[in-house]
Amino acid sequence: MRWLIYLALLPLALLGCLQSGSVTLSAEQLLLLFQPSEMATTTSQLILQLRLPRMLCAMLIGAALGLAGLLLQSRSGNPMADPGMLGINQGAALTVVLLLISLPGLDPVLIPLAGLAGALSITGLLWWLSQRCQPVALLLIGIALSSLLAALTGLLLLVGEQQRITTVLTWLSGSLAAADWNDVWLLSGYLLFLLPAGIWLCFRADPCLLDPLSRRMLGAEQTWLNSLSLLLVATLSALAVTVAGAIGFIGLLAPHLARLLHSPLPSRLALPSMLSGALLCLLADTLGRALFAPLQLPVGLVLAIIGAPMFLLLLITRKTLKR
Amino acid sequence: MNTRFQEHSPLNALSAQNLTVSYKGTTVLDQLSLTLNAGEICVLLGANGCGKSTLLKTLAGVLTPKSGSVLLQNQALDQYSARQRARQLAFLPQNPAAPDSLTVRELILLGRYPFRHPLLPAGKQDKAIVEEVLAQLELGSMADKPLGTLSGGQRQRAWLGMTLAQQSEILMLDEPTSFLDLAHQYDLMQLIRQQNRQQGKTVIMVLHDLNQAFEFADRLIFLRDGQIIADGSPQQTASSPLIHTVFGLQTLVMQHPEQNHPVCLPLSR
Repeated sequence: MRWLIYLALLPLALLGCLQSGSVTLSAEQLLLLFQPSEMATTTSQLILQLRLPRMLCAMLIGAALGLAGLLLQSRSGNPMADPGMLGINQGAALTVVLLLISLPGLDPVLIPLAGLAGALSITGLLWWLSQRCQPVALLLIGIALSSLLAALTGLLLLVGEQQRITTVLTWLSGSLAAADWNDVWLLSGYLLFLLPAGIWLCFRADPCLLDPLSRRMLGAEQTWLNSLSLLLVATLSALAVTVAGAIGFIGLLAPHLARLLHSPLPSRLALPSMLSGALLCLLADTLGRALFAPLQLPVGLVLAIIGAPMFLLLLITRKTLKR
Repeated sequence: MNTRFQEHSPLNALSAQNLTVSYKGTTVLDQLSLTLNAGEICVLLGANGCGKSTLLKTLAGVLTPKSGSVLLQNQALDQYSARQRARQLAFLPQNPAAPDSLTVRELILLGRYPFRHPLLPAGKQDKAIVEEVLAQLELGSMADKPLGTLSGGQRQRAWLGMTLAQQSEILMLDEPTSFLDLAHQYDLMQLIRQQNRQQGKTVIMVLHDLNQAFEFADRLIFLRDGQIIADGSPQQTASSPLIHTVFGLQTLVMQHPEQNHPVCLPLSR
């Protein structure tokens, strides 16, 4: 029964996403996709080269972030945890800004790689720290690290050249505007391995719902699983950051939406979190394109605007914070 | 064959030798030795801060002793992996916690975690054991209810179910009846006794209610200042001088008028 909700919402969101944007397409025009000969080349290009890859990117990133959020929340025992809080996004942003400002003649192709390098260095640092402290302390470290990295980025932006900074700022606020098939292949290539690993880790995270002593007495307090989960969370968010910049709130919101419908066991929430993450990201990107067309709002911005009140509402109406 | 088996079958389920445990520089347990016999219900008694909870946690392997050792089935406890230990020894903490939306059945199934294959979901056997536990604890009708909708007594029974699903030889409970009313305390103790008598489980628990301990324990261990000062059956140990030494309270100890165990009535400080 509960799964029907996804089955109903997903096609609607897909249809809405393909139709809306700077040029609105009718359902008839979309159906023509199946008869390529009768379709205007511009329309088919619009759909196949722009909207379809963008839609797939949004869904893949949403699913990845939803799963990362669930895993982090389960392992840290903190329902408020979000991968964005660990400082990974900020780490990626800092390296990108640093590179753009210190090497003005940089090839734009290298930007995502720089982001990935930054994200993975922060992950490495977090992994090293995770061997030495409790998951809860790690979140606090992440918050401090985020502030520090954001401050450093801000400092660099102050001294940087104005024209470059505009590009960086759009990327920083999280945008799918530049998503193409290359991004789709990059994402799906990684996610083919990362998502099954994440689902498996969620299955091992069920006892994490219990108090620390009970968890330990079940033989479920395995530090290597904690570290592996963290590494996976970081890689998933680094991947998302690289393609679309800093997208917040999905990691926080998607697992909470899934909890409204499903059992709180991480093993039962893995798939719903991915689905609701994909839906959220798709919805936010579609809204961002449709609301003020032809002006496009970055998906990260839309998510922050709809995500924050949604989260507050969840907090007030549900006992999400109770364990 | 049979005698060989007898020789190797451990009559002592768990033993501790010269345990010294300190917490923040204070010695909580001091050179304590203890052997827990298989199949008995053993209750740890003592005033607040006497070290009974610490002893239970050290026997469970949660706390590491400064010196001395704990042997589980004649093998050092720290040689066991956490998973292996969880198959031999189940532990119900004083304040267990789980999300309110978790159902009774899901909670009990978590008790199967130490037996689960790392790659596979819960198997038929795990599910059958959960159903068996649900039936034993008469929780069948509320199996799919979220914990948040249960009464305190039902919730504690569900938690007991989780530890029973571990099918361990040893069951440890830290003040299992603390938050229950009198009738539910009695029900829970009956269930624990039933597990001991019918499934042969070795039970060791901390209790605060002396009369409950006198009624349900095979063996009482009185602790004071980190040492055992009395150890024996309720009939052997129940005496007002001992209770005065342990709790600093004057009591009247007498035989239960209708049942075969002592009772204790407080008189004054």
